[in-house]
This record gives sequence, structure tokens and C-alpha cells, in this order.
Amino acid sequence: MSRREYETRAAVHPARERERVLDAIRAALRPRPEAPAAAAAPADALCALPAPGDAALRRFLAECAANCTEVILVRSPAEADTALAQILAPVEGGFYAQDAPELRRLLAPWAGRTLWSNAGACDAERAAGLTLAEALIAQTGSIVVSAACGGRAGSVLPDLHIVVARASQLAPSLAATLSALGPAFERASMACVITGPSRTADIEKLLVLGAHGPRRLVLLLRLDA
Amino acid sequence: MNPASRFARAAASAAGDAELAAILRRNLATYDQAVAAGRGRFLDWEAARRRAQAVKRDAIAHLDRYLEEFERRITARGAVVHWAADAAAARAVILALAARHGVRQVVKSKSMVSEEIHLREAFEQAGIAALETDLGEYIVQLRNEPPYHIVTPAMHLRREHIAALFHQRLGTPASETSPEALVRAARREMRQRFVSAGMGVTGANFLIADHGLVAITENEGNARLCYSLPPVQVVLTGIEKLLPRLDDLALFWPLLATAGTGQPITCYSSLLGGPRRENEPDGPRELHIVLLDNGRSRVLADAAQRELLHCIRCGACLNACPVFQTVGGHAYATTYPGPIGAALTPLLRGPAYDHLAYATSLCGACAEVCPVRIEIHHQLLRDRGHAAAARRRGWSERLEIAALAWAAARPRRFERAGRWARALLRRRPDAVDGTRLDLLRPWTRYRQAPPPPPQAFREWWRRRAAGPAAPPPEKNA
Amino acid sequence: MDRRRRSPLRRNPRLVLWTSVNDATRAPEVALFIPCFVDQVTPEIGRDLVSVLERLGCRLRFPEGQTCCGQPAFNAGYRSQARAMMRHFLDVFDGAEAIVCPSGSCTAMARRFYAELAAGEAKLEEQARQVCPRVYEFSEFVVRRLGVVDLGAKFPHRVAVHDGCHMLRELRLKQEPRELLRRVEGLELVEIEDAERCCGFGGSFSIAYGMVSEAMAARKADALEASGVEYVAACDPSCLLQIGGVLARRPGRVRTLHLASLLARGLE
Repeated sequence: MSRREYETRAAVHPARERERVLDAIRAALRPRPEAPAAAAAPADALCALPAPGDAALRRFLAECAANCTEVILVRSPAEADTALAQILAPVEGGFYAQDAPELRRLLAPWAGRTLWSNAGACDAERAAGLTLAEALIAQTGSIVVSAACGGRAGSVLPDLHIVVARASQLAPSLAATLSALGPAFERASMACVITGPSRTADIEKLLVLGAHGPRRLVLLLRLDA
Repeated sequence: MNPASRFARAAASAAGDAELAAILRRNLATYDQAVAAGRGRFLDWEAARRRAQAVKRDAIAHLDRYLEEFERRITARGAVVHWAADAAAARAVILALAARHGVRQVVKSKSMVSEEIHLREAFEQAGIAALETDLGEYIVQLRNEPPYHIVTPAMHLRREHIAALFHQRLGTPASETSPEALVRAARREMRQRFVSAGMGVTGANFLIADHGLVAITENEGNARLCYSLPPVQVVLTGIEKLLPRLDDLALFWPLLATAGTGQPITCYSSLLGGPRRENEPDGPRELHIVLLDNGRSRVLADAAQRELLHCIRCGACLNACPVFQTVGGHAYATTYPGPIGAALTPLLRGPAYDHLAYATSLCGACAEVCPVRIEIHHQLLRDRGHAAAARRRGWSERLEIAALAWAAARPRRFERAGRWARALLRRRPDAVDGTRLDLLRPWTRYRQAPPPPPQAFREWWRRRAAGPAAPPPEKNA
Repeated sequence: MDRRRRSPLRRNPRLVLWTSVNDATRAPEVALFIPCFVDQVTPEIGRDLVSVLERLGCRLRFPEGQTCCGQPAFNAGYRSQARAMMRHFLDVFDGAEAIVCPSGSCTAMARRFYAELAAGEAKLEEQARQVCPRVYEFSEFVVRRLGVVDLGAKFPHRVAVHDGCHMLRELRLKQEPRELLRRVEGLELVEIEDAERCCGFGGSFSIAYGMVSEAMAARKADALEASGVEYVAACDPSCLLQIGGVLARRPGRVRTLHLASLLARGLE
């Protein structure tokens, strides 16, 4: 590849390039191949699913254990306060948090160390990020966050990501979650299905947590009365 | 040296490398175990593959419509879609963006399409520092090598190799060889680069037509940093990555993760709907999506071969391929190595890569593991068909086939030719076995050849039928 | 003495049961499809095939017009030459009731690839549709078509099966050879590590990329030696040539044997 090659193509007009590609595709598909639109995937039948009811929570907890998400079950606001205090006690440095009433209340003791998402973006100095979740997925032990959960970086840049969610947010399957997620993009530019803390196995296929994102992922899961 | 001889030499050299074989074997044993467990999580893995194949067939058969739908929807949210007929056009678009924003530093997450268009070299030529942030890619970038594997770029290295590399390039202690310490060092090294980069470049695993979304799959979080921190984001991807519906990801995410690494779903499965919105604290101000053709529409035009565009780049066929396991990823010297690369590259990059379609035993292990059921080994046969039909094969092979066809046209001729050949070979002294004087050397150099039999089956049959022991024909059974 | 006159029924009571109960599936007339490679390089496999099928009461004929099914040309990409050879094959075997072949690979050529090769020529397509489903791989024919698994053979050795790739992945035949071997008296069937892994033959591949091909075969040979078997049986002469070619240069004592040859020896 030479610089010259780059220069000769730099003059290409965007609209013309678009037509060029689309025309090539249309020509390639003439005559149009027979391929009936596949019915929406009945994905519930494809990946093992939990039974409804309590089993969903059990499945969620088992999946979380397998993917290294730390789940703390809390039954009251006071229990949540205690649990959070225990997690944050050894953490040095500032926090970043989604600006939400529930997190404002929980983080009241650390208000001075917290940067709220309405005040700015998460920076690389933040030791912990706290967010709510859009949904939880029992089938895979996943936590869904979106840009509405305090932006993008707050859930990936700090070494510790703490999610506060309720058991009522538990969806049985990935399929059910995705069906509900479509409209979310009209209010948030990004969504991410998070399944455990950041990891890599690029060295000898050995699992190491905390590659680029959080080394710890903690879920404070409020069980509904 | 042309690509064919370079491949032959590199393949032979890797085939004799016992240390490499041991590294790959260990790596793949871990992979195989994880994938077996992962498949077990599907109620019906085969049904999932068939479903995925049907979805991709639909996506590819209506590619133009789905691409336009994707473009319309994501553009409505403020993203900019660029089309590129070839690699040069894609580079031009991206470099123009970088120039417009005065970008000096780029962070990249893993993208095989960026390897395909040599984007990093283009950035470097333009004086822009581009950092590969996926750990495996980072390692091979430091080594000045292309990725070894489309999913596991540093598959060919042991931790000691990486430790020595980091010691030399990052100044980590030479004794520090634990994967944990190496990962920590790389993370530390790259952190600031994410923050100061003017542009983030990612690939896309899927483009979702019905909601206009880009889906990115990863485990490390580097792609998330690439699309969260820099002010400008570029998504570079091939036109074939379309899925009709968001719902399809409920199948394709687990399928890709299972085939790729054995995970139920990758750690971070992201969906991007556009650039940062007004009420959001961070994210890129601009999101540019570059849709690359670069030969794909040519593959699309061949009804018998367009299923090659169903590929979701999981790497399973590489892992299953006994040839890949023997020659490794670098021998191919292509962006996409292994069976899928061997089948695609001659089509995308032309006759200089014909040899790859021949560098396989056609065993079909690739097709067996392909999560979207591409019959890769049959596609390799079709590639060979193109090469031979266009008379691009060597004279000796053409002569051999012509001789076989000539002999096979008449049974008497066939028998006589066989008798001569066997007579000739029977005169071959044992002493030449495997040496340069041996007519059978291409075979005997590596293996023993059986002695040529004195009579062919057909001669035996004829004599037996005519002989005294011949049974009377049984008419009554 | 004429072996064919000695009825297998008298020798083996289990066969009596089968023929008398299941008259509808009486052994048909069999046209032997002896691949060019077997004809010229390993004719003993063809002879053993004949001896086993005759023991089973099949009436055999060898259409002498047969030459090569066209697989070498097809695999190398020379489709027009392969088509000519296919045309010849279809003419030679036209009207045969059952066509039996001692090679999974050549069977796969007819059963799986002829249709694609004939595409676009209506008469040829029709002929392929008539003939190809009647082509059987040897073990498939015995187990599926004749319904026999126990031939009354005796072979007191440790034996591994190597799955040929075409046999396994094009024809989906894996159990058939095993079913036959399990009923052989005294035979201990051993599953080796990675039995489904390619031996590295691959036709012209074994020549063009000899060193890669050999490395693949070496891994197969390692697995065989590690399993402690005395024999490796397969239904593809080409795999056996490759594996045997590497084993022959090793000190170990694993020997290769075509399934038909093993059964023929076991029936002696």
C-alpha cells in the first residue's frame, strides 16, 4: 500500500461511493435469491432457560457465581447501606455515580468524594463507578446498563463497578431483554449487556480478570418484599 | 517470492516446529474443553446452527435493503454512514476524518477489517499513532507482527515470550511472567492513551437493521473505552455483518461466544445507537460508520459461494482445522487465515492466493464446527474449480489430469496405462526409496510406498472368472 | 476348493436366521465399484471385498468398463474432465441394483458430488439421480442394506478404527464399521484419541504439502501407538496408505488393514 494509492482514492465522492457499493450489491443479487425472512428466532428454545418464578433468581445467582459477578442480596435500605459501606470502606480515591435518587441516598455518606453524572464525565482517576441497571438477565447472569445509567465510561473505566438493582428487574432470557431494549435507544445512545467483570485469556488461554475494565463487578440486589 | 511459494515454505517450517505445535495444542485443548461445555448449554446446538444459517441467508439475500434500513435508522440518531467500495476508499474516509479533527493519536479495538485495509499502516504514514488495545493485538503490535488468529491474536506465544517482550518494550521486570502481572502492565501502559486519544476505532460484530444499531462483542473492555472516551468514533466494518433484527442477537450473541471461546455470552456485548446525546455526560460527539465492500459484492454475485459471507468470524474453523493446527496462522500471510480465509482470500484478493484453496485436505472439520453451517470445504472445492477453469494451475498438474482423463475414457487404455506404470515402478530399486532419484519421491520423502502389485484387480477378476474354479453363474437367487 | 460353493449359511447359523426371516432383503446382485486406486495399487482390498460379499451370498459382477470416478480431477478443480469421467461411470453402472465400493471417499464422490457436477445438464442430472443413491460404501451396504452385523468372523486382536473424512462427514457413516467389528469374535475394539481427525492424506495435498501432510499423519500415528492397538482398520484405502506409510517408518508395530480385509481374514 502506498501513499499514492491513498491520494488517488481520496477524491471519491461519498454519494457516488454509496451508489457504487449499493449498485454492486443489487447487481450481485439479481435474480434475487430465494430466502424467506427467517421468523424471529425462538431463542428461548435455543439456549437453556430457567423455569419461571423463583428459579429465575436461583439461575441468575448461579450464572453470576460462574462469571465472577459478586452479588449481595439486601432486603432493606438499611441492609443496602451496610453492604455498600463494607464494599467502599477499603476503596481509596473518588467515586463516579449515576445521578439517580436511589444512588444519591445510598452515597450520602460519601457525597464529598463522588462525582455525579450530571456534573461531568467519569475520569480515569475514579476508583469506583456506581450505576443502576436497565435490566438483569437470569439466563446469562447479565446486567444491562445504558448510557442513561450515567453515561458510558462510568461502568467501564473504574476498577470497581457497583450496580444497584432490584430483583423485579430480572428478565428470564436474553431474548426477552432484547425485545424490550429496542425503544431504549430513543433515550440512550449506548447499551451494554455486562456479564461479569472485565477479563482476558489472551495469554496462554489463562483467565485474568480486570483487563481494561473493572476487576470487580458487585451487584447490590434488592429483594422485593 | 510469490505468495504460493512463501506459503509452502512457511507451512513446511511451521510443520516441523515442535515447540509451536505444543503451544497450539495446549491452547486448543483449553478451547475445545470450553466449547464442549458451552455447546451443552444450548437446548439444541444443531437447531441453533440451522436457525442462524436461515437468518444469515435472509440477511445476505436482502443485503441492499437491510443496509439501507440500517443506514436510515442510525443516521436518524446522528451517526454518519460512509460507504467504501475498496480498501483505499475506506482509508481515505478515515484519514480525512482524522485530518479534519486534527487527530494525532488513535486507540483501536480489535477489528479484522482494519487489518484487511491496513489501517494502522495508513495512520502511521499520515503521522498518526494508532494503538491496538486488545491485549493480544497489543502484544503482536509490539512484536510488529500481524495477528496469528482472528480471535486469539497471540495464540502462538507463551507467557515467557510476552514477559520478555514487555521487559524489553515496557521495562517490566524480566522475572515477572505471571499472566496477571503482564495484564496489569499492559493495562497501566494503555490507560493514558485512551484518555488522550482523539479518535477511537472499533470494528462491528453485527449491524442491526431494524433498530439501526452496531453490536460489538468483547471481553476486555477496551472496545468500550474506545467508544466511550475519544471525541470521535469510527466503526469500520464489512457490508456482510448485517442481521435483520435486534431479536436475532438472542441467538447470535451466544452462538458467537460459544463458537469463539466457549463462553455463554461475552463479557461485554455492546449496542451503539448513535453518538453521545445532549443529556449524556460522555461518549463521542461524532459516530462514523464505514461500510466496506472490498470484493464482498463479487463473492455475493456467485450464488454457489455467497454463503461465505455468512461468516461471523468466530474462529472455530481455524481451531478445528488440522492444517491450521499444523501450519499456524502466520503461514497463510492473509488477513483471514485457516479454512474460512483459505476459501475467501482467493475470491477477495485474487488468483495469487489460489494455492490456499489447495492447501487443505478437505476433511470438512471446519464445516462441522461452523456455527452458521457454511460448507467451507465445499467452497474450497469451488475455489479450485475457478482456478482450474481459468487455466491458472501449473502445467504439470494440468498434464496429470489430462493424462488421467485420457486413460479413464477407455477401460482398455486405462488397464494398459496402469500395467506400464506398475511395471516401471516395480523396477524401482529399494535403494532409491525416498532419495532424489526416486520417481515416487514426492510421496516417499515423507512416507513409505507400498510395492506395486503384479496384477490389477480387474486382471485378477478376469482370470478368476475364466479359471477352473470359476463358479457357474447363479440365476435362481 | 471353491470357496463360493461352501455356503455361508452352513458355516454360520446366525446368517441362516437372517436369510430365512428377512426374505425381502435377500442379498441383491451387486455391481462392484473398484476405485482406480484399489484396482491399480491395492487390489488385495478388492479381492477381500469379493470374498466377504460372496460369503454373504451376494451375486457379484464387475462391470469391466469402469475406470475412475473422476474424484482426482474434481478435487483438483478440473470439473469438465471430472464430468466426462462421471458420464463414463454413470453409463457403466446404469441400471445396477446395488453398487458397492470399498472406499468411503469414492462413494462420497458419487453420492455427494455428482449432483453438483451434473447440474445444468438435464439428462445427466436424471441419470445421476437414478444411479447415485445405489452406490454404497462397503460397511454401509453390509450393515444397512443387508442388515448383517455378525459375519461370524474371528480376529483376536486389539483394533482401532480410523474414521475417513468423507465417510464421516459426507456420508455420515461412523457406527457401521464399528458395528461390524464389535461382533468379530475375540476382537477388542479400541477408540483412539481424535479418531475423527484427518490423517492428512487429502489426495494431491499429500504431495503438494508433503511435510504438512506427514505432520498430520504423525499425529494420527502417535495416537495409534499410544492406544496400544495392533491394527488400525479403516474403510478408505487412501487413508490406510497414508497412515501405513508413516507407521512403516516407525519402530512401532501397528499395522493397517482395510475393514473388508480384516473381515476376510477373520472368516478364513
